[in-house]
Amino acid sequence: MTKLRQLWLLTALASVAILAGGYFLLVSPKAGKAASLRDEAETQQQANTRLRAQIAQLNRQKKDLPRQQAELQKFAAKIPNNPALPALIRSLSDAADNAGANLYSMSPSTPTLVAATVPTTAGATTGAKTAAAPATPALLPIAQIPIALNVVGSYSEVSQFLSEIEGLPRAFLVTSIALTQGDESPSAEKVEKIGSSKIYDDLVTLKVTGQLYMTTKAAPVAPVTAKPAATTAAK
Amino acid sequence: MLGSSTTTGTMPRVNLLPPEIAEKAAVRRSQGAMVLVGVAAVGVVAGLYMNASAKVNDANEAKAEAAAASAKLTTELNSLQNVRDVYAQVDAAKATLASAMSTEVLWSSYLHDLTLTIPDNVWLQTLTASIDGPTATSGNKGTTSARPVLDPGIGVVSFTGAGFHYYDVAEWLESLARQKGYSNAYFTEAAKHVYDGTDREVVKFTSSVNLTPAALSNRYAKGTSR
Repeated sequence: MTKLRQLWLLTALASVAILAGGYFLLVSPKAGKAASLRDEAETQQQANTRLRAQIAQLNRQKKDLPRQQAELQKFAAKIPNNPALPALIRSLSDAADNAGANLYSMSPSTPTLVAATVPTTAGATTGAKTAAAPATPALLPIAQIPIALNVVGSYSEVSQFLSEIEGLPRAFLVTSIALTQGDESPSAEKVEKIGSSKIYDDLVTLKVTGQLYMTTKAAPVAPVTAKPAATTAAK
Repeated sequence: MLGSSTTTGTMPRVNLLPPEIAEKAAVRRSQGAMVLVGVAAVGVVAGLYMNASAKVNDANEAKAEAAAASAKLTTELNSLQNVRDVYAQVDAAKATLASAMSTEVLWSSYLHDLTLTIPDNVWLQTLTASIDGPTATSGNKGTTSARPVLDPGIGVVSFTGAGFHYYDVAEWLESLARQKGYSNAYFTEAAKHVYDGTDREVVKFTSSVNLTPAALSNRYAKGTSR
C-alpha cells in the first residue's frame, strides 16, 4: 500500500472519528437535552390544558353559583346549625292547624351525634353498583334530635298531619307511627253498618316518633355504608 | 555525402524522477484535499451541534412559556376557589341530607292508600309502624335462637282489627300483599269474639307486614351538584 493511500485511509478514519465523536460527545447530549426540555414543556402544556378545562368548568359553574347558594340555604333550613326549637314549635303547630288535627304534645330529646350512613341508591339493594359508584362526598357532622308527637283527630286529619310534616322546610324523619282508635272497639251500631263507615269517622290518636337533625362543629364522623336490609338481617 | 534519411517516431519518455520523489509530490498535492475532508467533517459536526443548540433554545423558550402560562392559570384557578368551595359544600350537604333521610317512608301516602284498599267488612283498631335505622344491627349475636325465615325488610307495620268472618281476615292479608312496599303479610292471631250487648260475632285479628326498600321515598337520594 502506498503512503498516499495510507494517508487517505487515515484521513477517512479521522473524519469518521470526528463525526462520530462530535455526534456522540456534542450533538447527541444536546439533542437529548432538547428532547427532554420539549417533553417537559409538553407535560406542562398538558397540565395547562387540564387547568384551562378546570377553569372553564369553574367559570360555567360560577354562573350557577346563586342557585348553589340557594341550595345551601335550603339545606340550612332542612338541617339548621342549632336545634331551632322555636321555629320547630311554630312549624308543627301550623302543620296541625292546617290538618285540622289537635297536636296534644311534642317532646324533643337532647341532640346526640350521628354516625352518618352513606346513602345508597335503589333501596340499598345494589351492592355492586355502590362499589362502582364515584367517590362519595364528605358528610357534614350532624346531630339527631329525637322527638315524639301526640296528635288527635280523625283518620284523615292525622293522615293530613303526617303529610304536612313530610312537607316541612325542616327535614323530619318519621321513624315510627302508632295509630290507635279512640274507643277500644266500634259501637254495636257501627259494627252493623261497618261496610260503609269503616270507623274512620272516629277520633284516633297518632303517636309519631321521629328525628330532626342539626349540623354540629364536632369532628366529622366516619361514614358507615348502609347495608341492604336483607343482608343486615341475615347476619 | 551521406544522405541522411530521418525517421521520425514516438520517442520513449523516460522519467528519471525517483518514485519516492514522485510520491512525495503526490502527497503534497493531496494534503490540501485531506485537510478539506477533515474540515468538512468538523463543519458537519459543528452544524449539527448548532442545530441541536437551537432546538434546546426553542425548547427552553417553550418550557418557559408553558411555565408562565401555568402560573397565570393557577392564579386564575385560585381566584375561582370559592366556586369550588360552594360546590363542595352543596355536595356534602346533599350527601348528608340523603344519608340522614335514607330511611324515610312517606307514611301519609300509606295511610291514604290504606283507606282505599281496606276490604269491606274489615276495620282497624290500631296501626303501628316503625323503620329500622340503617345502622341498627339486627339478628342474634352469638345466640342460638332460630333465625327468621321471612325477610324482615327495613321495618314492620302491625295492625289489630276485626272482621265479620275469617274470610275477611284472609281478604285483609291479600289486600296488604298487593300494596307497594309491603311484603310477608302475616297474622299471628285471629279469634272469634262476641260484642258486648249484642249477639254479633266478629273475628279479631293481629297482623303485620314487613316494609321493603320499595317503601323508601328516596326523595333526597339524588345526584350531587356536579
